[in-house]
Amino acid sequence: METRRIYALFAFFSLLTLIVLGIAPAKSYFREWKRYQKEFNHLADEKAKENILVRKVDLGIQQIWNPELGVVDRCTSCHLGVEEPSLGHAPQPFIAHPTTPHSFQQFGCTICHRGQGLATTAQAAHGRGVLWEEPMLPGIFAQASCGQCHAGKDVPEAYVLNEGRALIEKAGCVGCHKMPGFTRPEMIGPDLTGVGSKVKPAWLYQWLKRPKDYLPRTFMPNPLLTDEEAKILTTFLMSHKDEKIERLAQSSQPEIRDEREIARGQTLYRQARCISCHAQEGRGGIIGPELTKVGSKVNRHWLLAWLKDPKQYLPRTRMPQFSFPQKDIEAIVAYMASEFVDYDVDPEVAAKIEASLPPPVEATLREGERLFKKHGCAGCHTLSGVEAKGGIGPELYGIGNKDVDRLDFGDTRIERNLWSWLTMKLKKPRAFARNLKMPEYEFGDDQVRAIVVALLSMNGRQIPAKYLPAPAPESTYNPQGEFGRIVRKYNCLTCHKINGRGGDLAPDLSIEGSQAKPEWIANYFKLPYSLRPIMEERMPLLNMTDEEIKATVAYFKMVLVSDAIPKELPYNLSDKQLIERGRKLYFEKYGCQACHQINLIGGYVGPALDGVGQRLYAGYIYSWLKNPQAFKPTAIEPNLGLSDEEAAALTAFVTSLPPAKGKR
Amino acid sequence: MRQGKQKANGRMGEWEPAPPVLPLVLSLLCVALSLSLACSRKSPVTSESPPAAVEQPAGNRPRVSEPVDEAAGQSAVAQTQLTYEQSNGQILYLRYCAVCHGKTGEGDGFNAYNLRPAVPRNFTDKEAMDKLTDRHLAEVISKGGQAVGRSPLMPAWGHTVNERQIRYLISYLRTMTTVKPDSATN
Repeated sequence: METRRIYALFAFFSLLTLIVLGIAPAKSYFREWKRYQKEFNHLADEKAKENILVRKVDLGIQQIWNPELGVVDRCTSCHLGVEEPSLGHAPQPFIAHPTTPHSFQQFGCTICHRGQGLATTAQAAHGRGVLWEEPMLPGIFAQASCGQCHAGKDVPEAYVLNEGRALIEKAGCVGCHKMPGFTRPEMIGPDLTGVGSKVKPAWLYQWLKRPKDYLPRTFMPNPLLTDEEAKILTTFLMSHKDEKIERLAQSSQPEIRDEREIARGQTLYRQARCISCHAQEGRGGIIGPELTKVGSKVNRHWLLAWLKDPKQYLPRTRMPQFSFPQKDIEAIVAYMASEFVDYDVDPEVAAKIEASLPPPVEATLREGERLFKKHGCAGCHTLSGVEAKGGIGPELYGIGNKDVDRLDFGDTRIERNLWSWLTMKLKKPRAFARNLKMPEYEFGDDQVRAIVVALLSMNGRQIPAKYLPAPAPESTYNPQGEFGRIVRKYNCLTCHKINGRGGDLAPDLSIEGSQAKPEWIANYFKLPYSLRPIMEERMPLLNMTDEEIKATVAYFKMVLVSDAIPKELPYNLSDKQLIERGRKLYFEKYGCQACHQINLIGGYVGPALDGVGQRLYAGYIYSWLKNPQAFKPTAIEPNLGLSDEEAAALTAFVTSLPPAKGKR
Repeated sequence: MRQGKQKANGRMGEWEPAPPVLPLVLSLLCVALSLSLACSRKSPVTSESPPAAVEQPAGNRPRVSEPVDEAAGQSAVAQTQLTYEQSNGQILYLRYCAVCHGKTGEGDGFNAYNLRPAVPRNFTDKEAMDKLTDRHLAEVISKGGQAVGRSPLMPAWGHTVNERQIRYLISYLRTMTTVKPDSATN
């Protein structure tokens, strides 16, 4: 009896052992990746029938290993077609990866896509595992990963990241948040020290309630104030007067209403090309604020003082100091007062608002200062007498891979992941809790996405130095002496770049002395005209003095030059045959007339070429033709791969062109 | 449990059978092994050198859907329609091509009428575009109109954009026949 029981037990356990032993091979056989690999080999067979060669795979885990980057990626165990260009339309997981500048074998997959590289099932590799905090980034945020290694706003092929970084800079996020890769500029919003003498109280109240109502393109966010708070803040800010402007207000001449003076003001306004920076009815530049409704915003006497010398009021302004005579300033202000009227403002409403503002008694002013600090206004605006208390927002180091469990989602019902949280935060800053302080920027969907990409790039990952691209050298260019004074007076670097410093709106002047002839430059300062008819932004007429022009041209000629541009070409450019050959190349072989005009015939993508020989040195034209992008990386003009002789012939032809009639 | 032992005189036939210690231990081992395997699925994988493959539980495909703010009734994260290649192509297209071929590819860029009698290709014309192979398009872009017997006013871009960028451009051109300009801008 007992023996039989023991035999039965023995049989049972033997069977159990056999079954257990069988599980492992069966599990191994049915593995997900094995199924995909078999499917892939089947696909390869199918492709072979279409005469497309796809390399088959030997069954087994595929792996990319880069210990320096901490990459152990087995994604290619299933994603078998990533490097097979012929599988561009294959189904997942076999579809070819878009061509990128980086090698997959070197960098792996997770460095860009995140997720768990070691995993060998789709769920664990892609999703948020129990102990894996970095789920895969959705494709629309993938450019965040470029930003782990690439600094700056000109990362090649990462336009979303670039836009996001530019937006972070423009929106002044660093006013409240410290974050990697951004330093606080000297000025974010304007200095408010004399704001009470500058603006009208009713305008200020409405501006504080929602800045975009007045300036749709402003980056000043809506601080989401209650009516009461906005009124107290208005009274507080209006109490900050500028003494000089107040004195001017008492002594200034009566307003000009003479039609002829107003018309003269309009001409001056147009000649000065104010529209290059200030839009009018939505058209024009974006460097300064739009002026269409400025009549309802600023006081006349402030405008008079501002046009005379903007730096008096705002030392860090980007506006040039136009050397207008006093009479001209008055004419321009008269024109602006008559033209830029805000028809949306009902004078009765404005009067009612002004009447409802609390009086500037001590308690109100103290409350105003408290609100100014509480809402983080001081993060972007300086105000004398109020201690600068920037950085009221949390630091954003490592925000790019913040653990989702540490985020407060409030009672929102969005998906629980980092990018949804960031998106929501940017769209509705107070969505997670009412007492938060972040103001509302009213970004568009694309802008939000770009900023989220830029934020996700701040994930604090340590990348070995050998993988980091060389950082762009920071320019320390700061001209001194007479030229330095001129550059600061006219704020040339707002639009022009010199030796790596300045704006991108106008041509880089770093080697202007080797490009343009001094006589032409001197004339251009006196009468700037548009070289490119399609450009809205044009060089303003600055009314520079002759001495200033002389000093500037001399500086260009001596300092802003490049020895790489030949002074003399080893060709006789006045040779008739060479010119004729150039003409043929210009019209017949290269079709240059598609973009350039000669004598009003041709396209206007590039500048007209009449009299270009009077404007530019032949050596520069030749060098430019050989490789336009060497001088301007964003140039549209194609590099045509010209031979030396072809470039010389084209140079000979265009320099032989006479100036257009009516132009010097 | 009784202890099994051999008789002292060593007679072979009469020994009592040994208890199933070995299979028991073996099966216990197996159970333990499979349990430990099951557990190891969930353990974090942190080692620096690539260890042998650690199996993960098979499961559904991940949900890479866009998060939805149900309360607001709209998607919290905006979707874009273009792939990486296409959107890079779009950037290049808008910089180099749109002046003549137009922002939406209809051949109506601001500079188009300066090219008369030549007319820039209309990329939204599906019938015509379907006839052009990728190789042909790459040829025109890199060597210019003249290389394929068309107008020299289409310049050669082969020294300005590289092969990869040409591929991006073509992938974007292919979207212009299918994506209507209205929906592309939204």
